[in-house]
Parts: sequence; structure tokens; C-alpha cells
Amino acid sequence: MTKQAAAPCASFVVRCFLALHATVPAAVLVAVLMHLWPPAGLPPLAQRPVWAVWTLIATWLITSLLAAWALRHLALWRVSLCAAGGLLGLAGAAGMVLGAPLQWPMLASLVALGAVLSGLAAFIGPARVQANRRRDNGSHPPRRAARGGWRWPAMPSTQTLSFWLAGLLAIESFRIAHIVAVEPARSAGMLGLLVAFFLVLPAATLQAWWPRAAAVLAALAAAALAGLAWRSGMAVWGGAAALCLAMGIAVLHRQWKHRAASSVHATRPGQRAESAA
Amino acid sequence: MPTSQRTLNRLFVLHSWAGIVTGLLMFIVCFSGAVVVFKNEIDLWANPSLAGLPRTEPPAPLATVLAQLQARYPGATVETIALPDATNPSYFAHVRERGAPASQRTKVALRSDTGAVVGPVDSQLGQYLRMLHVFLFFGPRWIVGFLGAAMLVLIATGIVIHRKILTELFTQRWGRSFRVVMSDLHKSAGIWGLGFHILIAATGAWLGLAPLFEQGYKYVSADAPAASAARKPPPAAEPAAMQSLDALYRSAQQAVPGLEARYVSLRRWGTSAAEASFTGALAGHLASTARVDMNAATGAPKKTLDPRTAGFWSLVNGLMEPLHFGDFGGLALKWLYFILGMTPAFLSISGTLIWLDSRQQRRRESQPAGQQASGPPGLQA
Repeated sequence: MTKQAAAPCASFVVRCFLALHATVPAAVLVAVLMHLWPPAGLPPLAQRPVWAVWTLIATWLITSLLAAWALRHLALWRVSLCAAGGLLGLAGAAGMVLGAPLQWPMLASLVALGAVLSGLAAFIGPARVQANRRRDNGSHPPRRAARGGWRWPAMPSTQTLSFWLAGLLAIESFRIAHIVAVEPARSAGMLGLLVAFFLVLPAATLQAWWPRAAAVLAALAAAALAGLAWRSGMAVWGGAAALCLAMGIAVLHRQWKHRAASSVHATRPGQRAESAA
Repeated sequence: MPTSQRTLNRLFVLHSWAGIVTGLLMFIVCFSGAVVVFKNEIDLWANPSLAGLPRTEPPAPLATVLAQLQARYPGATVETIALPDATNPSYFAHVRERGAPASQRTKVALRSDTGAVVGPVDSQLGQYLRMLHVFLFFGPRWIVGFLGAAMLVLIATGIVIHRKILTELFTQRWGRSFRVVMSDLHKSAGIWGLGFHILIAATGAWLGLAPLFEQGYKYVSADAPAASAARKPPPAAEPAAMQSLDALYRSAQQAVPGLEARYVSLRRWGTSAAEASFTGALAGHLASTARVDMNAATGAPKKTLDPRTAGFWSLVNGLMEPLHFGDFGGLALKWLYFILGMTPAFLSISGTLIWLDSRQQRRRESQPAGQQASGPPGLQA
């Protein structure tokens, strides 16, 4: 007989993160009901007003926070699924009350989906899983307590800096393409976005595992950005190209140092044997 | 070629991090995308005032529709007219009323039998949900395109790290630890929907990123850097008599045989520079991007796009939207797209839960035994 899972607890941040997923269907259904019964005094929905968007976003965030605060673990998912199921049924009934077109097929579909969600809420539960076994019987040494006192912050690694470079390049490209949004710089900004996503970001990601591939990607990004700088005459692309080139060189340099250190380790036993002889 | 354990570990880390970083947005986009398959049905359902409007074959002439709009909204600009389709029996038009800001357009419904204006629609729920799926309400479309590319990376790494595909199709171990149960569900859902996931990720990435590539290519291949900036100003527009919209539609159908227009866009109407663009599908063909721009003053075609004859990439581009939204095979295909479309949303959630559970377990194992006895037993979300 399997031992059922006991009620666990996760931090509030984790619960918020999960609630942001769990409340999406219910928040969308609240927006659906709002479209069927729009509040009076606001711009009509025929004009696709922005208040409809903000209502969905606010509903989603508020219900997520409330769910994360009030509900834990399984209850979070069960209540969210049941709420979505209930709202689906309510939306179907609202269509009937309002005499909407396609009211019967929509009612049948929405009620069926609501039943599926409610069934899912009933199905999931501690009975489906076994409690976690504690594998630890003292074999893992406890972590060392952090030493007190102020220390110099550690120099960020090449990879961290590369991610920053990818992010900053994407933000600057976005600014040029969509905020400044003046041709011909706009098109150059769009190319910058493509370079950031398809060359610099993979180069940052892969450098811990495949440094040579990452260096090639960084070199390609540098070449593309240099071409963009030449074409557009904008200094920002030249600076980005130089940084990408520096990233590629730093990756290769780190690999070279790593190899040199490995070869020193590999030759030491032999050296020891020679000196002993 | 066998994949080494070290490579598998790296791919697993890449899969996990790519999933956890994009997971929430991916969930929202996939969930809303599954719902948007029924966009036209939802749009009709959320407009109770349109109940009982007749479907007429053939519908009222386009010229009558335009005349009715101009009579009802004098001085307003009619920007687009949507023709009746398989779901919606009525005409719709987007009208910018006199004095309204450039971004504010009102969607108006018209009867398909007489072309009479019914009035502003009750809501645009289907389009609202599509805006969530395609633009996340505010963003440019390429954000979702990048998510499609990220989804392709997740699929590729997922295939490599879970190579026992046939076994995992049928593996579901209930009553085991939370992570095992969730992992089995994650793998089997991923494998059962694999072909569909590749399809929607690739088409979604294309739809989102193609304009970016297109714009970039135009920029790079232009003769001189300043060429695109130094555009010719549009010719001075003077009031002119317009050709009938129905005559223009017939000419457009001659230019692109089989054109079944869904939308007519009007620009600078009533002037010598007026244009009417007919956009839509092709009879007996899947492509959805056929388009003819007509000079509305002279009735001559200005520009045609027939995906059947415009080259390989144009044909590919024309197939992307129908393949992504599944609106070419009736209601049964839409339900299939809906159900399969929910699986990547589930994969986002299950992947996140697995990642959080393993993180919590790592933390638990790194704690001293004394603290552990009172610590949390696990994340059974």
C-alpha cells in the first residue's frame, strides 16, 4: 500500500507563480462574461476599448494573488479548475438568457468543457501520488553556513555578461524598431532583434557546453552587427559588434585556459614519478 | 550516433531553463490559441443582437453595403468591409467616424439580404481573444514568433532527452511520487501531440517572425541606405468618381481566378488616388493570402498576389495561417485543433511543476537532517 502525500507547503512566491498559471482560464472567462454584459458608462466594445484589456489583466493578477494567499497546493488547482468549470457553465447559460446566436451548440460545448474541468479537479489529488521519500539519511553533508562580513562582489562570469549583452541588445533594438520607429532605423532595429534572439542568445546559452559553437555564433553576430553599423551609420550597432566579438574571444580564452589547466593536471602524476626516480 | 550522457545532461538543463523562462507566456499563448480556433463562432455567439439575421445567397451587392454605410455615417471613413462567411451570415464594416481619433474604429454589422445597417456590434470577443493570442494585447507579433522558435527548441531538446518514444507513449505510473506521475504525463502528452506541436510551433514562428525577416531583407537589399527613407510623396488626390465595388470585385476575380474575398479595404475613397484591396482565400486551395489592389477610380488592377503563381515562399506563406489555425476542415478539425492545442498548454504547466518539485527536493536534501524533519515534504502542487 502506498503512503499518500501529506499536505505540503511552498513559498508564497512559488504559489503566486503557480496561481498565475492556474487562474488564466477563470480570468479569461470573467472577460467573456464581461463581453456578454458590459458595464454601463464605458466606451462600447464595438470600438475595441482598452478597458476590456486592463480588466482581464487586473482580474488575472488579483485572482492570482488572492489564490496564492488563500489557497495552498492542491486546493489552488482544484478551486481554479472548479471556478473555470462553473464560469464555463455560467457563460453558456448567459448566452441562452441573452438569446445569442449558436446558443445551443455553445451551451453544450461550454457545459461539456466545464464538466471536464470539474472532473479533472475531482480526479487530481493526493490519492494519485505517493508521498516523497526522504532519501537523505545523513549521507549529504549540510551546506556550510555563509561567512559573515562584507566581501567584494564576485566578478560576473562571461556567460552572465553574455546574457546581459543579449538582453540589452534586444531592448535597444526594440527601442529603435518600435519606440523611435523611424525608417530606415526601424528596419535596422528589427534586424538587431533577429541577431539578438538567433545569434547572441544562443551564443550566451551554449558557451558553457559548446564553447567553440558559441564563439562561432558570437563571431557571426559581430559580423552581422558590423554590417548593420556600416549600412545604417549608427554607432550603437558598431558598439554591439565589438562587444559580441569580445564575447567570442572571452569564450575561446576561457576554453584555452581550461584546457591548459587540464593538461597540467594530466601531466602531474608523470612528473611526480620522474622526480621520485 | 549515440548521444553521450554529458550531452544529454546539457540538453536537459537547456530544456528545463528554456521551459521555465518561457513557460507562463507559452501557457497563455497556447491556451488562448486553442480557444481562438473557434474565433468566428465566439464572435457570432457574443453578439446577441445579431441573432435571427438571415443568410442570403448571393448576399447584397457591395455597392449597396457601402452606400448604406455612407448614408448612416455621413462623413465617416469606411476602412474595411468583411463579407459573410461560413459562420457569420452578416456583413461587417470598420468605420472611423468623423472627428474620432485615428486609432478608434467602430465595428458595424449589416444585413446580408438588404445591406441595411444593423448598428454597432455588441462585442468583438473572438477578435479580443485573438489579440491575446497573437499580440499578447500590446506587443508586436514577433514576440509570439520568438515563443514559437523557443517551442521548437523545447521540442527538439525534449525529443533527444526522451528517446524511448514508443515506450513513453503508453507509460503512466499512477500512485508513484508526484514527479514521476507528472513526468509520465508530460512525456506522453508531448509524444502523442508531437506532430501537431511541431506544426503549430513552426507555423507560429513563421507567422510571427516572417515580417521581421521580410523587413530586414528589404532593408539589406535596398540599393542605398537612404533609399527607403526617400520615398516619393503620394500623388495629390483630387475628388473623383469611383467605380462600383462589385465591378472592382469582378475585375479582381479576373486578375486572380478563384479569389474568394473575405475583406475589402478602402483607402482614400472618393479621390483620384483611391484603392480597394480584396483579400481572401482561393477556391479549392488552402492558401489564404490572395490579394488584389485595384485603382478604384480607373478600375485597373494595381498589384496582385496569387500565392499559386507568386513563387515557393509566397505559397508557403499563404499556407501558414490555415495550417496554424485549422480553419479549413470544418468543425471536426477545429475540435481536433482545440484538444491538441491544449496539450502544449498542459506541457507548460507540467514542466513547471516538475521543475519546481525537483528544485524543492534538491533544497530539502541540502538541508541538515534536524531541519529536514520539520521541513516541507514536497511540492504536490
